[in-house]
Amino acid sequence: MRTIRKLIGLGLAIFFSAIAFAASTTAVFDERALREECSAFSEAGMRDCLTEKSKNSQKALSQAEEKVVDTLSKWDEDSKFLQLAKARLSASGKAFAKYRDEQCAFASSLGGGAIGNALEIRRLACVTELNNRRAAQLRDAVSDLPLK
Amino acid sequence: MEVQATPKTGFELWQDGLNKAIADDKWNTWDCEIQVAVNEYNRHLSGTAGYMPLDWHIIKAMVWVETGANKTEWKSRPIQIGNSHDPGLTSLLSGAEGGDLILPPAWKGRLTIGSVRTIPAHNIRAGIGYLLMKLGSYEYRSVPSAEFKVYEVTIKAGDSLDKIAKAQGSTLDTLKKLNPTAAVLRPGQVLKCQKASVQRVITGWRHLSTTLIAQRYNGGGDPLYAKKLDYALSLMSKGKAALCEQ
Repeated sequence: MRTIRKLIGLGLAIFFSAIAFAASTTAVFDERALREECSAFSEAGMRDCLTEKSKNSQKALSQAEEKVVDTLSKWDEDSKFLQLAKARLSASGKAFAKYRDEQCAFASSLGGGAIGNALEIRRLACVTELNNRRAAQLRDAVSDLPLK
Repeated sequence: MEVQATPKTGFELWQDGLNKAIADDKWNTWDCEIQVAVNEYNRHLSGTAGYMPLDWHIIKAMVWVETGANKTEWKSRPIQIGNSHDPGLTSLLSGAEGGDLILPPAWKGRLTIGSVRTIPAHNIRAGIGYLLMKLGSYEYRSVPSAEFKVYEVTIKAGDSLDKIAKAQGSTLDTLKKLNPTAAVLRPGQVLKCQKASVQRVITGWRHLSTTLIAQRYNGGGDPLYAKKLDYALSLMSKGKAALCEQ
């Protein structure tokens, strides 16, 4: 009987962690899926569609960063660790922005000598994906901190 | 139980928009301009090795996919070349990648970055030129000058074929071709010479397909570009085109 209970418990644990994993990973579209979604428009319309998505992703990232700072302020932990976490968040934000810009310049360069909107479409889709992933990461990172 | 309809994909939504286009004359606005421009390029390039005349419907499909009559750019940049962050127009106009061989002489110097960005007829011509530039294969070869005359030069002490080619405005390849037995040069020896220069020339053409256009013109930016072109072409075969004076 105990073995059966253990197995059920283990099964449930795997099930719920799979759901949690799926929720944290599938909510963010990859850059190709973003381009396919915006392919509902002409190439000129695609650029506008991805410009909008990119702006929204930047807003979502800023909100996630504010949420992390706010959560850290309420963290039930010694203030020196709280300050350390805030400093590390700031450093990682700067490093992320640098990485994102370089990575998306690389993604754009894979369009070669293409004309029109192609290179910008690639860059914007890349920026949107990375911003959204970072926002999701930040939200997840502080979701289970013990608060005061 | 109510069955929820599957949401349409991006491509299906785009198809819906285009299905309405065949009944609307404004989508045929550039038909005549495209036909004239394509004819100019076909005439200009017809003498190059393996050139297959371009079908104007391909370009019409491209302006539908690139812009579409419902966008404001339809009246300025229907084929979208010359946008910001777009290196293609500079590549075409600089001539460094073969654009100088592709552009019909009447349009060299007339197409500028400013005109291509604002005048639809120029934008269409630049777009076609860029596409053709990407379809061509190029090599650097010795090309005799317009003056085909072959003349003689006498070897002096210390001369080499390379030195003579430079001094005479010819090329090493030309001298070797004209003097196949002149492996060792002796003072007083007489060589044949002809003015020539090394130039980029068109040596062939890639086979045109919608997939190739997606790769070379769109650079894979839109994963559905080739599929869109195929669909636009299939619609065109059922729809009507503008009547143009020939």
